[in-house]
Amino acid sequence: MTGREDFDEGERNDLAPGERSKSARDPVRGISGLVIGLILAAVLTAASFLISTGSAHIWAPAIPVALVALAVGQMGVHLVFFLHLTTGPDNTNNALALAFGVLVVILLIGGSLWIMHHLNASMMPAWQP
Amino acid sequence: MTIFGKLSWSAIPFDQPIPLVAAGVVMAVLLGIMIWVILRGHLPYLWKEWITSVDHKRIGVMYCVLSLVMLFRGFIDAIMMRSQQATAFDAPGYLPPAHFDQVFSAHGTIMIFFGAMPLMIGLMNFVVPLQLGARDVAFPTLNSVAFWLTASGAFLVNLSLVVGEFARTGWLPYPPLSELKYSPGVGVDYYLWAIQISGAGTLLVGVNLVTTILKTRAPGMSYLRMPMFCWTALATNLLIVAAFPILTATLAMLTLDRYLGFHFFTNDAGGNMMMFINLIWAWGHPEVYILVLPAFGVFSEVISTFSGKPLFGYRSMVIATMFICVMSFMVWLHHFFTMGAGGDVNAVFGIATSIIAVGTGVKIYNWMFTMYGGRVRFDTPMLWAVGFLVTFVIGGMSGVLLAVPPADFTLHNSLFLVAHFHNVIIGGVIFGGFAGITFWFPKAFGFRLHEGLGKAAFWLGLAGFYITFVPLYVAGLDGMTRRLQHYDEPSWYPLVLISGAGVIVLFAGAFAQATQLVVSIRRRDRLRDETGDPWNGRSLEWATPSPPPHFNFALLPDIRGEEPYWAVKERVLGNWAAEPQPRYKPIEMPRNSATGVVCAFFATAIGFGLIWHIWWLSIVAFFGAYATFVLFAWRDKAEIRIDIGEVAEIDRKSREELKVSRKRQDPAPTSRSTKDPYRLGRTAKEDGASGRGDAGPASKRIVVGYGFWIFLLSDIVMFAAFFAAFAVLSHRSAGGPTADDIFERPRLALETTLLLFSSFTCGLAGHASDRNRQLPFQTALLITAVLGAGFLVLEVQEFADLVARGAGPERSAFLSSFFALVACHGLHVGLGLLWIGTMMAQTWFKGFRDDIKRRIMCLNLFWHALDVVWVAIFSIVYLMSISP
Repeated sequence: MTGREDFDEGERNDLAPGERSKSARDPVRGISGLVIGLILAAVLTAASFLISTGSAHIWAPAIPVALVALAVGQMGVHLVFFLHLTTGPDNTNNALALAFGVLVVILLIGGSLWIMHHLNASMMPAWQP
Repeated sequence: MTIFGKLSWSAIPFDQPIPLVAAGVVMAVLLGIMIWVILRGHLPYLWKEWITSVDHKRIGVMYCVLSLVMLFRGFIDAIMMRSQQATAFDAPGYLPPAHFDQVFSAHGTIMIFFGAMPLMIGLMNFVVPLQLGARDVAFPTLNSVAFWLTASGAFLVNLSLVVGEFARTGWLPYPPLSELKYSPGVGVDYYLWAIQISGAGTLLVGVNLVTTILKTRAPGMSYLRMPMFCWTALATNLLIVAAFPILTATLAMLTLDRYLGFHFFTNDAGGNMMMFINLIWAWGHPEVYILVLPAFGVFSEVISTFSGKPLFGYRSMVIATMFICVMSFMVWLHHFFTMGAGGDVNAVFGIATSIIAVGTGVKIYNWMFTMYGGRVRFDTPMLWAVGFLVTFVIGGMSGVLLAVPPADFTLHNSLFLVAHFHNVIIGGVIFGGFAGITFWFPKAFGFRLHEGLGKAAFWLGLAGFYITFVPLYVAGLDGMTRRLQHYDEPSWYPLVLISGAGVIVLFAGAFAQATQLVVSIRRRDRLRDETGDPWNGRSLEWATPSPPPHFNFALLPDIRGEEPYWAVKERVLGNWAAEPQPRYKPIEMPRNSATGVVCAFFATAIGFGLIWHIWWLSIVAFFGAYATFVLFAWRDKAEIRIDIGEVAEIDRKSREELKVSRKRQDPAPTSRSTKDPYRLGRTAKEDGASGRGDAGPASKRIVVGYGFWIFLLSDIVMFAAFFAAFAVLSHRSAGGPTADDIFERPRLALETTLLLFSSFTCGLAGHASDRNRQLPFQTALLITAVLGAGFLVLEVQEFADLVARGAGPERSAFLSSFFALVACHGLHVGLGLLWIGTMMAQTWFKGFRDDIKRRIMCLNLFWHALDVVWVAIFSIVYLMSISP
């Protein structure tokens, strides 16, 4: 009962979301991480804009797929470089919560699209959008 | 339009005697209670000890009280419906259709949102921190805010009885009936704002309890040592966090339709009312499990305690709970099989629904095996649990039947369905609530409830349930649909009469409950619980005295050993008796705060103003609420310190009492249960190894950060609902402008650049705050604010341009969904700017205090998350729509 209430919070292998792990806390590395993130995000954004204008060299149906891929990639960049999410053991809870959220988001958007597409397809022609 | 908006004397239904008399009686009773409280001088006590209390136990009790009052209110609606139908065979009955429609809508709304949910939330609030060995929930003041917001919603719903009207659309306001065109009155608006306000409260509960369970457990309380109730509470609150934002978004869309002429769900301009039904059930099905999972937890505790055995199959129970938690997001279409999706969609969701029943089946067997071979004591909580097992299996079976799409086509919207969901909600949630209340009542108040009257209430409730709802199953199979104000089919009449008789039995049950409470209070000295452990319980809450001191545990328990809950209790009590003076430490507890009740007051005013179009009231109240939060954030002392002397004194007293009463109690049958042959999991090996995450409560920084992270998760799900609406409606431009006509790349590029750079500077500000550098911090945050404001200006400009060109949200469903999604993001940016301002001021005047740094961390998370959402918006909403 006694004895262990003096536990040291530092021994906990756990980090608040958005915090860098101890090894990455020196100022130079911190700011350089932000800079790398900014550059990567800017490149991905520019790529999205560029691709969306279309060109003779890009197969048109691939554009939406590429846009989704680039968006997911950029969200990943933001999560890693701005929100400092890692897969390390000190981030288990944070990553699990995110995974649960992503699952729900995918189910909600994907499920709605699938269900509503089916409903629309079953409508009489005059009512089809 | 006057200063009072749409409100006038005609809003009070002088021509309808029934609601007016009912409301008059209720108001007289309330007024009487208030006068009594004031005259007897109880007001300061109530204000200090309850209304402004942030103690999770007090808040839990207040939730349960609110729930019991609202359950009674909803039950009166039920009496009216059953008596109406009993008198309306070939006759008009006594309730005109318009009134009858309000009654069934109010019944469903009140029972689910203000009866069942507060009951479960109240129990979780009271029990979970005690079971985890925590001193309070993670965010005590938010807990108070959450409760008062729920109370505010309940108040608005009941106010509609006297001022105006309630919705006539059912408990889920399906469009197009709920659209302005067909429901022009304030009824639906009452529904919308009451549910939004209480929904915000529920979301806060979810964030709070998830964080409490994951981050503030006592040392050694690893995940697989948590009592089952904590596991089901975890699953429930994860569901709240992930599902309630969908409800918020969906109701917001309906609100936009009604208030600002949007076209999400209207008949015209490309609106799609089926999208409402799709979205609302994407929340609605998880909601079912939000209600029933905590009840499953209660039964797990009750059955194990009263069988004198550990829960059978603990690990399979954990797996089943988490399985239900995830699966509950994959079955929502079964609520609208008949809406017209194709066979393959129906088949997938039908099979998924049957599969989710497997998880529940596992639990039923586990409970039965827990009883098997145990020394079962049939006290009142156990009676409710056994009654539940039988009743719930019947309800579950009828549910599996309804999960078969062809069967559902004949039973859909019939009384069979009504009987089914009452079967699971009464037999599961309400029985669970009563079991829980009887079980934990002595812990909360220090005396038991009267056993005989409790048993009478159980038998009357059980019999009344069957007499009421079995005839409805039969009537449903005979083709009687739900919500009939009158009917002329003779074969239904006797069934309806029997069902009405059942309600009389149920009323007798409710009367027995009320009598039980009164009698128990009067005889509290004889029913006193001095041991702190009246039922020979197995989890940590029984190790505290009844009622527990407000800090719960004088010393944080240290959980280790083979059979954690049971063994810990034994050792804790043994230690208390043996050790003369434990090494106490001062305890810091959160200070009471009026923030909750004041916020709820303003929320009520906002809601009332919006319902009656009294805009000035809503605006004033919004700033009042904002000012309350700023004041709360500004206070310097958030905690009171309880000195060692006081802790020792309180603890010594309770240990004395426990020592005396433990001697009187017969020795606990430990040997029997530790050698239990049915015990699965939790081996000595596992208990000896110290797992990750059981080092005791996390630091405040982690707790706050994680709580905010969970909140952001729910925010993202809300955006996902708006995204889903956009994805479905984006092609419905109704002959109006399409994406190609209105989206401009240059402005979008500029907006994106501004927001991207603001994320960078916000990161710099966070960096500066880590190193306590005031000037760089202020500069970086100021630049962030300027960039964010620039973004907002561009967005507002864009919107203004569109509206001026006749491409406003009222033009088509496509534009409605676009405006709502992008404006929701813009609104977040706006709130972020307000927040940046307050953080700059706080840091400037108070320096880098720990609590301020925690808020800066949250602000950082918020701002970065906004940017993540914007990535999805600019690439998928804008660029994908205009790419070739």
